[in-house]
Amino acid sequence: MQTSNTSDTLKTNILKPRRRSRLARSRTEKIVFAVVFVIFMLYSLALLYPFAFAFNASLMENGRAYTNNSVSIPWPMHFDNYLKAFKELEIRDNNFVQMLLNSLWYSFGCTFCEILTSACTAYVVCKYKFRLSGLLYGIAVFIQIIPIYGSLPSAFLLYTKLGLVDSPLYVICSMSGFGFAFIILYSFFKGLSWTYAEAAFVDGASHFRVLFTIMLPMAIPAITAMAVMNFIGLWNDYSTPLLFFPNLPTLSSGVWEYEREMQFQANQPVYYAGVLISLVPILALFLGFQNTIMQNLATGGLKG
Amino acid sequence: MKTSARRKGELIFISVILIIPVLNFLIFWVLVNFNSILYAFQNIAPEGDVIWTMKNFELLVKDLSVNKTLLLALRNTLIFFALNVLLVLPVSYVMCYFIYKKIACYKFFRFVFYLPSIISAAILVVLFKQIISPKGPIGMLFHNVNGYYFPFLTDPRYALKTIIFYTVFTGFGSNIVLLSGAMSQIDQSIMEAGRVDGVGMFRELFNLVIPLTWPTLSTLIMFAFVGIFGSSGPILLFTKGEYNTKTISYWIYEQVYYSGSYYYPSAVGLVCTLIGLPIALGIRKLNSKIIPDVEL
Repeated sequence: MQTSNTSDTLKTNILKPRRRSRLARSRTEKIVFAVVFVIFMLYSLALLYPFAFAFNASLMENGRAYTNNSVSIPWPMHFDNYLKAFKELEIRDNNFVQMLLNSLWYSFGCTFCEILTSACTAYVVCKYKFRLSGLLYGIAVFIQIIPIYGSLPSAFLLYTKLGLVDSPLYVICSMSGFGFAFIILYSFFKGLSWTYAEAAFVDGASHFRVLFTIMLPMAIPAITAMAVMNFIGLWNDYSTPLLFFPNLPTLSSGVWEYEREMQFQANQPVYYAGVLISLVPILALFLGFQNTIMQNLATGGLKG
Repeated sequence: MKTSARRKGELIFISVILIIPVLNFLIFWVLVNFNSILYAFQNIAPEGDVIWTMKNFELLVKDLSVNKTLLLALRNTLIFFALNVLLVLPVSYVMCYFIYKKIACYKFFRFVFYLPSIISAAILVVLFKQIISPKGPIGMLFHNVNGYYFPFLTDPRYALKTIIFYTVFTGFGSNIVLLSGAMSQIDQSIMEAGRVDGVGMFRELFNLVIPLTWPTLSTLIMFAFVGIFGSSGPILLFTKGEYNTKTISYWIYEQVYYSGSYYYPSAVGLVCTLIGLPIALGIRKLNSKIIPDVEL
């Protein structure tokens, strides 16, 4: 016992510092890290500059940003431009709030439909043995690895026939359940023990109850990571709203359309204020969930 | 009897859960792609009727050889693809390595590098365009140096280069979540053992980190090859395809969005699929040979 304690003490007091010194960065490595740090800092500043530019411009008086003074510090600062953005930014009778609502139903609706159906489908295909389970998994993998181009015209014609164009009903297209989220959630359920379900079945729980009250809650970290990534992708999507619901512009498609109009008559500082407001929800969402995303998401599956 | 009833309940549960996704898949994937193949062989006759024809493919050959519209789009597409595989992916991997090694302010860098992936390209492009416009700081700087406003986006010689610069510049952080996730799963004892054995930073990167994260890296490479003809920058947002900046995916989008043309782009898509299919399968096969246990 004493020998063991002595050994532990040795490990703590003698071996660890020596190991630390051997693990410390060499001089060359320190130089490399310093150079990389400077490059990273410059790159970060370059990435952040457009937002500083937009913030600066958003505080200017209307018209001033059009002049050669677009980079000077505005005085007085017009914070009221942020309030004006809600009233003045308008695309085809859709004001800023309506565009925000369009972004919300599109991003939230499609994410909810896709992740819920993917989670349920992945659970059933992974945990239940039935004739088609192998085929369904094969289909999901097939969709991911087979490149299909040029289906956009066909999709547009079909959606038009089904009355899904220019309609919030568009979200039902997302209920496929066999996309990338399926692959990730399938991997998650594969690593999840079936004993929880068996115990619940013994207690008389139904299959639905096991799915909705035991299995899906256990998958919440993985589902959240997928949902947030999906939501961000949809919130930022501009090409789908432009094509499939042109009269219901989202913030992303509206910003681009408004920029085209801006060349002729728009209030540029107010526009920049609107652009910056539109960033707030998505940045807040990412900052709130970045640890969940980083900890859970990795290609080839999720940590179980 | 009890087992049969249990199995019946199980089958009902499976059917209820799968009915919507399977129907959705049949309508929005199978039917859409099946129709897409049919449209490739159809067109509108002068009388207004839909007819079966090979003219879409004849037009494709003509566009590739005589008009060169699509040839240019194909060239641009391959440029975006090559830059992604040969420049963006390797550089982003090295950037991730330094973040993984906890370079000073690594959390800040990780967040800032990933910003372009969180923020809508529509917003970023608008800001970028304003900065390089004659009224923006870069535009003014060029004016002061050269004495004239540099036509970044209005000259065929520079428009594509400007879009490529933007795409590469904002693309380095796009894989950061997946690569950071993969690197964070590396067993620290392996790295420490390597360090104790005197493995330097470069050997650690090439002999330990890359092999240990190869499943993720190879999957990203595979996805790049799978989407080879979909490679593009934000062409719509920058130039709407003007000044020789079209890519294949933008060209197809433009045909539907601006021209209302459905049959010819379907034929172009079909040809791209037929060329892309063996490439994707070949890369997947190669990938599974190198790392047999890689799971998509």
